[in-house]
Amino acid sequence: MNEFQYIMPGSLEEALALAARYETKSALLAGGTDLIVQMKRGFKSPSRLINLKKIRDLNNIDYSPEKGLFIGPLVTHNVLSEHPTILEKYSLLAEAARTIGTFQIRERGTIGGNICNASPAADTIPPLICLSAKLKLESSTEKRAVGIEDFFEGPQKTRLKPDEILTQIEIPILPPRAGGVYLKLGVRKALEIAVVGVATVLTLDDKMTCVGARIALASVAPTPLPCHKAEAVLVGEKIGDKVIEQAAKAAREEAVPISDLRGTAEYRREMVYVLTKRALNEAFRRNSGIGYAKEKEYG
Amino acid sequence: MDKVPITISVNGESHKALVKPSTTLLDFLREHLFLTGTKKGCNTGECGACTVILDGRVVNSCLILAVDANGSQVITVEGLGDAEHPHPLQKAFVEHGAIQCGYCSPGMLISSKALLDRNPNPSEAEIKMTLAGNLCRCGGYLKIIEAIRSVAKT
Repeated sequence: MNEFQYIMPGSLEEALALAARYETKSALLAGGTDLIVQMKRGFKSPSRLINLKKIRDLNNIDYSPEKGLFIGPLVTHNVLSEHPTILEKYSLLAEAARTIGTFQIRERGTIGGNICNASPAADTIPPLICLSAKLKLESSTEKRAVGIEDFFEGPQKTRLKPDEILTQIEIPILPPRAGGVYLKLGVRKALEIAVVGVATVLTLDDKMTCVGARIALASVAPTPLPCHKAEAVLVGEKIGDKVIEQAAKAAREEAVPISDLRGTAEYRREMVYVLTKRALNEAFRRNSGIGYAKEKEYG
Repeated sequence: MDKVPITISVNGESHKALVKPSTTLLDFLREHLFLTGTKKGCNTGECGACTVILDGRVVNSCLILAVDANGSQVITVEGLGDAEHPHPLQKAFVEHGAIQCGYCSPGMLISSKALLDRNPNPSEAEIKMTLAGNLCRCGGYLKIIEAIRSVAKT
């Protein structure tokens, strides 16, 4: 690891002033489960490390039935995956957090770090896309909110400016019959980076017609990938075998995976189809209260 | 780069030191305090040999900077017990033959101690979930799980 200067600001104002002063030469330290590894491997060698842990309120979770869910960027994956409100109302986010790394990594790794590290395989991002999360970005001169869908530019590349800090993740309230699921395919169950990840949120009306659909994928594009064509297939339709099949095929078309050591492009594309079907069925089952859209085994 | 003064409590004993910011908690424990029970395996947060308890949380000490642990309380395998007064888990690991080469054992013991602190009677599935971040290359998982279960039951 390179040598660096270590700074631990006591307030957000101080941290923003530091970020503005040092710009690209500094790195922000949250959980460190990615950053420290990247520094050990020489992929990153910041001359200053700004530790965010002393800043108050960055690790809070707040929920109000009027305004929705507010998550601080320093909330760890284990806290996310066990939080009663998240388990009850945004369970796909808890599911995704639970699939990350190992218990030790989840004790330390943070949701803000998972977002800003901007891995195409990041597990919490597809659920956040499906939940229409907004990211609050602050600099010493400006505050702005960016939809998480528009935040990513490529692998490890985001629209976060060098003088900005992610200070909050805002998730709107879900309508009554809305909810979703996150499915992760890996070669093994623990300490695994997704070969493919599929998140979906379905919103149904009283007659079980789909009035809203979100689908987002991990590990099949240079960034986490929203599947708008597949979503459009579902909206306005009664959910059943046929429309789920069509949506899964549309998602397969939207995926632009590469072949790497975790899987070939062909395999990944096919798994997008299988897992999207499975995810939509499961989301329907959870929301409708009437069981699976189809009875027979998944194909 | 300037060294940074830190104070870290390890196994109940307070230690003051001046460290380079790039020093990991693992290296601080092993190279500065000579507490070599905590092992360095992969050094990238995958194998769990370096697992310690930091302020009540089970973490990979190779992924934590010593400066980031300033003011914290750390428990290492040396804090569990010694040859004369072993922790019930240490006794059970010996009795069940849950130690082969021994390299993963400190991390296994720390992870399982923290698990039993959270949940005194975990199921086999919970034990496996928790130990997913502790690799044993001898393949001694069954005996390790048996040892933990024997302590859980008592």
